[in-house]
Amino acid sequence: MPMSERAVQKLIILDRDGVINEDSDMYIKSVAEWRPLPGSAEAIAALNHAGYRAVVATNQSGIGRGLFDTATLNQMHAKMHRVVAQAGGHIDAVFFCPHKNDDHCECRKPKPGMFREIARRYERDLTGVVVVGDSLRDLQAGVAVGCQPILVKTGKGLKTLAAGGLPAGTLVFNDLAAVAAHLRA
Amino acid sequence: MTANNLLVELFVEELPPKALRRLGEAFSAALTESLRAQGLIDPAAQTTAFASPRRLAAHVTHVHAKAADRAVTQKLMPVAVGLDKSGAATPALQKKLASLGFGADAVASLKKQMDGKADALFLDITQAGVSLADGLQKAIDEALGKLPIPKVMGYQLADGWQTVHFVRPAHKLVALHGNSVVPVSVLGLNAGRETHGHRFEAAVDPIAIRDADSYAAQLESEGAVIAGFAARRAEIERQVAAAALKAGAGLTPVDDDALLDEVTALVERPNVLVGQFEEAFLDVPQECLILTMKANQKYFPLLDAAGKLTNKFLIVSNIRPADTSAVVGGNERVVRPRLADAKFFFDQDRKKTLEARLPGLAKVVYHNKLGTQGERAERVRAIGHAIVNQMRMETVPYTALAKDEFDVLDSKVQEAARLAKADLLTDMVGEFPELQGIMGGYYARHEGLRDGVAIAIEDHYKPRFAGDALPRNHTGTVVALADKLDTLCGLFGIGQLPTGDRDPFALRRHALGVIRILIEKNMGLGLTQLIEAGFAAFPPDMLDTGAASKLAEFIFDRLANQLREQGYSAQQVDAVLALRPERLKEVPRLLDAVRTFAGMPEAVSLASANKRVGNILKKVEGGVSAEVDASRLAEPAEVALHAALQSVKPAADLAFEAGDYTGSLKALAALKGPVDEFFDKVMVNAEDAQLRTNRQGLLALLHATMNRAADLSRLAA
Repeated sequence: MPMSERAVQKLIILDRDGVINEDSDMYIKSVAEWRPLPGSAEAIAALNHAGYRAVVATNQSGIGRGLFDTATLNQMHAKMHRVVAQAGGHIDAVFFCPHKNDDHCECRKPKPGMFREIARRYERDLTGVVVVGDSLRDLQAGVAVGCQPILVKTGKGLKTLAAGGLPAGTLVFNDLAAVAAHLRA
Repeated sequence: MTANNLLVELFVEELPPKALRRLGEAFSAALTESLRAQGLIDPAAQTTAFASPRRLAAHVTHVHAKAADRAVTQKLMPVAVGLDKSGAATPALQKKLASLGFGADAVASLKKQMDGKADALFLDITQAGVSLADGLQKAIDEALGKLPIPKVMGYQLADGWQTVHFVRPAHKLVALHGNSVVPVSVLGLNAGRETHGHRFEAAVDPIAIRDADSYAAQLESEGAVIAGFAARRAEIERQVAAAALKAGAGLTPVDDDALLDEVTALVERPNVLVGQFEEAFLDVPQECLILTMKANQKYFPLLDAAGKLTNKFLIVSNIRPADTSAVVGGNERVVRPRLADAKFFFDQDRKKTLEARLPGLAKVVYHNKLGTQGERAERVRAIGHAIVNQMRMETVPYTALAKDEFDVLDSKVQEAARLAKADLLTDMVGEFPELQGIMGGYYARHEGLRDGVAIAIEDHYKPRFAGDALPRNHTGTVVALADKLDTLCGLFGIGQLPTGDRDPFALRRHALGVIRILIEKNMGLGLTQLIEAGFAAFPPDMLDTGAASKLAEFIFDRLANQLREQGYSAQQVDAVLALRPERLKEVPRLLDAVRTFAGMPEAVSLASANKRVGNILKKVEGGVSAEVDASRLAEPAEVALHAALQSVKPAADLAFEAGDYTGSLKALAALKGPVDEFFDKVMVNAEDAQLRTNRQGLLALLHATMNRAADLSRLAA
């Protein structure tokens, strides 16, 4: 198929902990604790190769709880960007919510605040855009603005699958690499 | 509400001709805008602008006598300040209401609304629509204030005491709504319905305008004035064409829109007449005669069917006497000294050879940091010589015949370069700077210099503007190139770079000239070498040689701009120029190849694969060499990719070297399958260092193979 000059930019929205890097019940609080899941960096490169721009949307209440500060978060993300770049990929933007539950903000997933902000920044509707997460609230937040939910079994994924109640039409894959392979096909 | 047409005319003394058109349009536009903003005109309203040397006018349809009343919600004050604890009005609130004309009973109808931080009290008021008189007064004041007048003059009103300021003294104001006068005033004038027509030939004076719609017709019939700028311009054009036909078979007037605009701004009642000058003057180069007749006398010279100047010209007069012989005779008498001046300059100039003027060039400063014109001419000569040598290197095979031709070219180039600036010292060019180069050509021919040299001297400034022709012969082309390189290298070298809104040395035009010459004349010279030759011509410490790379950047920037204007897509232009091709003449063919490639089904995949490969290679510390140890290839997919490269690379390289860029890109199509397979199956950043390095080497080889003609990653989404 010949290339069109100005096609609508393809986006994919990823949760961070449990999808890109290893998760922990005690929060990922430092650069050392931030460890990429095997194949996730290559998966993002493969998604870029297939024409997708990767955007991260992540709850980081650890900041609100005082467990780490934004500067540390930026260092963790610098590592993330570097690892992904080494695989030839690129994360376009990182949206994060630093609030605790009882702050009652608009952005903490499952609230769709971050997604609305993504829609505003990219000046487009998010209907049909794939959202990948390992928890129910990742998918709920995306579905609220019309995203196509995909659950991965890494991180808390298996537990989420077992608990049930997934949004209608949720696809399930083993990991981010499998999602990339599916989307490239 | 009566809607009617409105006419406003300001009658003034003769307005500056070059600004008249702009003033007319600005006046009517600003007037209409202000009336619109005040709600005095319908959306369907149309404005007609009038501008003649002695008047600015505007005719606006659908104008109301009074604007519609408007409902407005006015904020009074915060609730805390306006109401006391029992909810009754405080003295402050009562005072505010009184000032707006409302009594205490209005308190009950006040609304409370959140305004930012605190509750405030709001009152609904009906704002009475402004009357036409008040609105028009405001509109006229605004319109006159906004006129683009660089310098106003101060003059005294009829009382001899008050001073007002405007571009020229204003003597009458007309403001009619339908057939009644609108009582406005400006510049000490009260509006009426009277105005004056033509200064000498009006049938009626003063003219009483009946109503807004009869203005143009009355001015023409009673005042002998064509008030509309466009209408008057068209009439002049018509008369000019007719007069040319009558003056002789096949005669055409010189085509000049700016001159037509200017004479339109000089007359109120155009009358085109034919004049003539002594044929002897035709010995003077016609460019000189045409220039002085147009610029100094505002005539339209007549050319014959072959485009040669005749001794006849058209005069655009402002009067229509029964006997025109005085007008024609007067003009003929007055043009004679102008032409005689030109002849005098021409004769005097030819008494000295261009060569003899060279010492004079050493006394003219070119730029205080770049030396004299004499030094500049010497540099252009050196650069021209270097260019001819580069052309020799490009010529394969370099036969004895080719060598002889280049030797002749070299001698002509050096002669032309030395003499090209000599005409700047002639009287003719001193009087008419626009004739630089043209006069050099004439004087060179007069002296009997070789034809190629004269043409080169004339052409070396080209292209002088967008769309201008390029130099006609090889000598002119080389000298033009050398001249532009001297300008660019010199000014860049002393830090005089053009900025977004300032380019006083026209460096953009010079850069475009270099680009156009290299591409359109198909000169296979390398840009870096040319820039080097430019810098090398200057004395050692005069320039910052680091500026050479900035100049190259600038030239590629201009090229990218021009290519995009020609319709190539931004991505395709980026893909080709990212590799900074040395020979600009190859760029059109490279672009065609990229365009063809982009239309192939494999293109999408190969372009984004290329981007991914580039990203990976960028991140490897210490760089990657394009070497593969075949024995270390493990996975089937990487073996297959290597094999594919081995088969595709020679074909692609061969095509590229032969100049078949389209063929070389087409050959890459075969890589799509193996590349996709590689990325699906192989992990580049393997744990094992040797495997990893080998795979990176394979990718580097792939990258080099794919990106010979263009940087394909730029085509990716």
